[in-house]
Amino acid sequence: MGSHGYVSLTLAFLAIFTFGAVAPFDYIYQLQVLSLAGLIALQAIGLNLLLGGTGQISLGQVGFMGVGAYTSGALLKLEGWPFLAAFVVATLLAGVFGFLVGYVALRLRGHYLAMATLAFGGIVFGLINEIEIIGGPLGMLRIPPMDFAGLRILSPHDKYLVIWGITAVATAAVISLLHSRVGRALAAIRDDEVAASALGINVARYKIAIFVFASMLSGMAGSLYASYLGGLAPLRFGILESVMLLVVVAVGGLRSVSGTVFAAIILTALPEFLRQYEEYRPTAYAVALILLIILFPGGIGRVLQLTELAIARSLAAVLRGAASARPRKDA
Amino acid sequence: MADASQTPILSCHALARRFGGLEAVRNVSFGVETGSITALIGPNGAGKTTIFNLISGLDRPSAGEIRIDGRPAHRLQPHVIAAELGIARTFQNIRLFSRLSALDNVRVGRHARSRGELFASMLKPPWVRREEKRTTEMARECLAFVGLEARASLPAIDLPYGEQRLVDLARALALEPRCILLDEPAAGFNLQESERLARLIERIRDRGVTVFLIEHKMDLVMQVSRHVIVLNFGEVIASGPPVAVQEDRGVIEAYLGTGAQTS
Repeated sequence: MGSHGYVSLTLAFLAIFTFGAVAPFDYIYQLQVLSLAGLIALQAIGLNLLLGGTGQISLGQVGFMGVGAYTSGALLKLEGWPFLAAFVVATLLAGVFGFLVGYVALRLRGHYLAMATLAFGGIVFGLINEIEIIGGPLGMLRIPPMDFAGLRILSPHDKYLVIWGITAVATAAVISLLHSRVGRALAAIRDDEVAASALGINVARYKIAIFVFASMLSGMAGSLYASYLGGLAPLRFGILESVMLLVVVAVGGLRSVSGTVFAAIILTALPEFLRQYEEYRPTAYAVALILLIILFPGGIGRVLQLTELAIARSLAAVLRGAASARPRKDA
Repeated sequence: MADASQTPILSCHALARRFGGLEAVRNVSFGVETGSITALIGPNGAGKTTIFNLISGLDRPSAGEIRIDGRPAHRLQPHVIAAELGIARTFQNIRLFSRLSALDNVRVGRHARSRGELFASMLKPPWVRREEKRTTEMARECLAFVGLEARASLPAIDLPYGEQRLVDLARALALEPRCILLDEPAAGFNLQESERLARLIERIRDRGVTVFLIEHKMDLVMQVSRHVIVLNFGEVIASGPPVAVQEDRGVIEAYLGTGAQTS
């Protein structure tokens, strides 16, 4: 397999954490945008595992985020739970929903699965608009902040670091998973379900497990999001947000964890960067998206991978002293 | 071990499979003796691969039953038949995992013989690392068994056709099966390669693995099998040792058409 863009990914995480640690206070806006990018990345790596790992599509991924966000928000605000407990319960509940949807998803493929997950997203969106106790269409306000055993996370810097810390851990976990017995089983399922099952792989079980895992990551993102903003509005959990996640996965490259993280940052930062050209923003965004897909058909992940390979090769050449012996040729 | 050869590892009783109006398999009964090399032959479309699909659980019989070690197996999921009953198979059209290397294909074959689920795979405690090391060792050993250790790191799709067949075989062996179903293992092989495959099949049997194979190359079948089952139009038309089957009138007619002369 060779390189996976992990060097770029490590450097990116180093840059992210350094920025969070040293950014001066007039960089709050950038910290906020990047915090949201972290939450997008957290969800997108789960969706990438689902789409690239077992070949299942989810058009309602934000529904799981909604479950996590509103569960966490309600437990914190209405029940006065400590943040960690609310975070865990929100994650688990999103996982339970993931199990139910994943179980139905086993019987569905392609368009039908897309429609079923779309319907799930729609149901969650409908429910959070309807249920009065969590604010209905007006949303929920004054959700308590993140809090780890009495350590309240209040500053934009700290929130940013917590979000990216959790995203980094999840990223490492997914990468570790991909390079394991289960990772190989997922690759086998994606390539040929029949051959995989004839080799003793329980295809259905892994498909459900990955669905549950992806929805738990979305649930986590939701819980963090609720306390990060301190308020929730149903509009943030619509179909468009789910599609946006799929776009992140597509631009990042299927099966590339590194590409997904880069794509999450680029696609979240891009509209903010385009804010100065307000009236052209939607058009410019669309054009940028099309350009990204045309320029990098294999996704950003592929670009990272090839770049790293090229650098590694030239480095090896330099070390062998070949660079000085003959004129440089770039292949 | 002495009486192990008395009970068939695999048996079918009045097995039938209909696809709409087509009876691909009808009223088929036979047994595969433990530790033997048994061949299933017959003209194209006789229902051989259908029987393999029924045994490995990829397809369900319309009637009849399949027993593995005397235990009814025709309602079990394919992964249970492979992992728990130890029935591995290869495919006529070689279904390798194309994005994986040869070694990784074989490592997938170790799936049922290794442990470590989602969370263990993420956290990789020492026992998972040990398990991975062992998986890799065993997979290399299986590749070496079919003579492909030098190809380990190549992507499966980049291998020549004949070697892909051998990777498919190594992958099935990695499961440490008790019985292996080989679906036309010599397809596309020249004489020399078939000869090498015959030795390989005998070595698999010598490892204690029962071999049940579908094959069109008669020299190979007659050379290695202890028992031959002949299928035509979904029915067993002859069954017995290779020599007896070769002289069976019905078999000659099925292969050469009615009115054919024997000598």
